[in-house]
Amino acid sequence: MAGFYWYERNPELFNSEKLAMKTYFPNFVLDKLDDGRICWVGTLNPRGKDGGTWTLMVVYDHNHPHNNTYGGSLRVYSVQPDLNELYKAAGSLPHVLRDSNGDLYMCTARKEDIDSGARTTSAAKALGWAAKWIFAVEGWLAGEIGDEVFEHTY
Amino acid sequence: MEKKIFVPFGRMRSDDAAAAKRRELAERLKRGEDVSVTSSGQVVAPDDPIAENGKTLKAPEGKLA
Repeated sequence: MAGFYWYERNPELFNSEKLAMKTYFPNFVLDKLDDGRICWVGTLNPRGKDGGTWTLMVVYDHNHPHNNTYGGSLRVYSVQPDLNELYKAAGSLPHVLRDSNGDLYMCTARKEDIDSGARTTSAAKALGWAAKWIFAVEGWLAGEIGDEVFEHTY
Repeated sequence: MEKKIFVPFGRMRSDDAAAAKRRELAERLKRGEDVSVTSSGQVVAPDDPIAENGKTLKAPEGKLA
């Protein structure tokens, strides 16, 4: 009997997700939320010793994969630093969205860049976008990149 | 006799080199050129030795929204 969750209904896709993460981001650990959604938690350090280490959580929507929204069916939250606190401290942040709980997550990609058909956007791909996001935002926070960061799509 | 050592500007300042590398990567991103992401999440140019020696993900095409 097919399960309720996408990872039960589509074990092949789930296995390919796990393989991609093991290959490209082996420090990320798979976890399950109370509502049944699964997620990966781990760290990225896009600027090496010149930047911070960010603890990220990539959460799959229940109906993964889809491209109905910006970022598709994968949401990349920053656990540390907290984007809500960073937003308050900086007065703003570029390329962010709010979930139904009011929490900020990274707006990593446009709808048209998300794959949801035969080729689906993986958590590894979302983390590749997240690395670019952090690189740009850390540059903006350091004053190396101007406010054009809000308009530029990178 | 007074001894003087000539140090080319910037040669002793590793911060400059790091800033130059960041500018180069920022420009690559701005121009939409390829960058790679290492397993630690570091963004590097595809021809960077770090990228060539290890398993890296080519940062996906597409734009931040």
